[in-house]
Amino acid sequence: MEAQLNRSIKEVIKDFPPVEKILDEYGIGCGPCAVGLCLLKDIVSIHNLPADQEQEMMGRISQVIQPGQKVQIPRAERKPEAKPKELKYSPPMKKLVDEHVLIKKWLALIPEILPRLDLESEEGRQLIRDGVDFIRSYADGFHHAKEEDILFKFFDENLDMVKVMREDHKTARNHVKAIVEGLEGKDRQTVVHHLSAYRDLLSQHIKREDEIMLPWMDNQLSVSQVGEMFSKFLEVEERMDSYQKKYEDFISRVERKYRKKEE
Amino acid sequence: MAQFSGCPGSRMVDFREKSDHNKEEAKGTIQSQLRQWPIQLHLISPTASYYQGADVLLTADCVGYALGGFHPEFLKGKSLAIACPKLDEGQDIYQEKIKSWIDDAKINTLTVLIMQVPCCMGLLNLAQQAAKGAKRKVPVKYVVAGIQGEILKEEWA
Amino acid sequence: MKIKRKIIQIDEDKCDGCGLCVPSCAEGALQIVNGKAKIVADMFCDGLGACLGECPNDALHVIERVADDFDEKAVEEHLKDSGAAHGAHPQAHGPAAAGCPSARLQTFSLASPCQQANQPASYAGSPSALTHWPVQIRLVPPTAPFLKGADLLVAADCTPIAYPNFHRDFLNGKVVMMGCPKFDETDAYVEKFAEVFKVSGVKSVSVVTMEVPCCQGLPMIVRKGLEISKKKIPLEQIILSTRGEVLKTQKLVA
Repeated sequence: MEAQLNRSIKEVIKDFPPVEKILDEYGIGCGPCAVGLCLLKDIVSIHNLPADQEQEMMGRISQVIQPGQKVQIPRAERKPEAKPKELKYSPPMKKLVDEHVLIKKWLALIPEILPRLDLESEEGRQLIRDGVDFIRSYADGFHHAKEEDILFKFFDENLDMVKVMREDHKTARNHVKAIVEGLEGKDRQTVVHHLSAYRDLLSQHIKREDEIMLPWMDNQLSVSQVGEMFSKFLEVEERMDSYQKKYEDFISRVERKYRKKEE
Repeated sequence: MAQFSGCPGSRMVDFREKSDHNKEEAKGTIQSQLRQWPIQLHLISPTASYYQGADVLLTADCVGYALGGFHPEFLKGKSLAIACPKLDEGQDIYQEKIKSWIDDAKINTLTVLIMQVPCCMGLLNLAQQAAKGAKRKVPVKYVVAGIQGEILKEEWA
Repeated sequence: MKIKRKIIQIDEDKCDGCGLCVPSCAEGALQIVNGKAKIVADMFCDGLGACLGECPNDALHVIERVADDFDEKAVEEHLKDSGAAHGAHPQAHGPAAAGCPSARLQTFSLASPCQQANQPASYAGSPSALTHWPVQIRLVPPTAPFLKGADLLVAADCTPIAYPNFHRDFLNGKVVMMGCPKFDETDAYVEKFAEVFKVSGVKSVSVVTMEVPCCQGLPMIVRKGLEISKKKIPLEQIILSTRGEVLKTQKLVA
């Protein structure tokens, strides 16, 4: 069990598939992760579960890895019990979190759009084109650009967390490429499949960023670096200053259309 | 604001380069991280060279007496000004100076370091009002020190 | 005298009488009357807004209007009358000032050697040597228990900023009173020190100042206070450079 704690989660799940389900039951979504480089022991300490839940989970995992063996679970380094999570971010990080809010609104719309999606109609195709534009210009061009061109540059590129996030961005872009191809071929199945997959991926990705990566990164940055990042973000926002309003309007329009239809 | 006023007490001196901030600390000896004079908010010129693009620390008078590690933990790498929000006279000029830091000296960040006593909040309020009135935006951090030398709070405003 | 000035305004629609603002006012200007916060008298409110941060309902604001000017003497009388500390801080000793912790007398001890040994290596030499509150000359009463028989350090405001090992080299084992001879009301200081020397039994006085000329007022103030008190107490002065070096130490009174 000791040895397993120091292995990457990808390898642990490969050798012991039930571990994925156990983690998922405690809200730890390592399964869908494309990269899986994080070590099992780091995953446990980062998630900071209440003591009894952590013991229980680790007990079950050790049963899978070494069935029948009575194992002493080394307690992860305890941080003081987290109060109801009111995460506080530095100003530049808060901007990223606020942008996530808009992207999450789009993700929430996807399951409402897809069942009624009709690629034969111009309306249906335009909706997908607009959605792709939102993803490519706002989520990617505006938001991910801040992350990749500015935020990540403050850290070692070889950090597991940075690699994982970049991989997610890449995978997301591939889904979008497939959506565009599906759109051109009026291939509804392809569009639905990739847009759903995009939604699943981004939901997990954003949750991880908001709850784990951004707070951790905030802790690593000096006051000076926060100021630098803040001012670089401001430059991006000045260059792309119509984006926030334009895409907020887009989301409002779609929400009004699809939520009204349900009544 | 006169670059060179008669009184040496308020004559501007910038000694960022001359001091050797990274010298090995002899056991128990703290290196001075102060790189400027004057330091009182009443006396400083907000556009002095050491404020340009700097990370600025605005701190209450008493903080140096409560925090033993003020230099290495808070002053290092920053330019500062000290003031007392309770006892200082003529505080209208304070807001103007802070605004000037932000808009004219284009500082990178502003950290406000105060004591836990209620009257000290006035310094944070002052800074936040000034930041609201400024044209540029900078991140503002505030730190609250206890009278026994502990850090009670450290947050971005 | 009525003038147009900054003063607190309480929005009674938002105020729910929780009373959190009351202890935050060092001047005792706030009270809950019939379930709403009220200014006891305009002249007690200094308009600085120390109370603003305490109100959970955003009922407090600083406005400008015609009002009685802030009257410090009246505040002093008012505080003396209101006397009894409410819910005294567990470490408070002696006659606690009403409410506000900024003026409340406190004495506390330094970390034990065991606790000090537990400090991370990077903090070496930097635990705080402060053992009391308040520290401002204006706020320390001559009868403060922590002054009794103490070694007194009188420091100019800027000194711990200019001299990084201030706690280790000057404050350690001493009680401090700090002020600015350039900006503060220095006549009141002479009287304050005279009283301190008369009643507290202070054993020795060290005055630490900056090299700048405006700082030299401080040892003169202390010396005058000593003369008025007619006490024989050794007095020395230490002068610091802005680069953090001791330039000179001299005995002013043997």
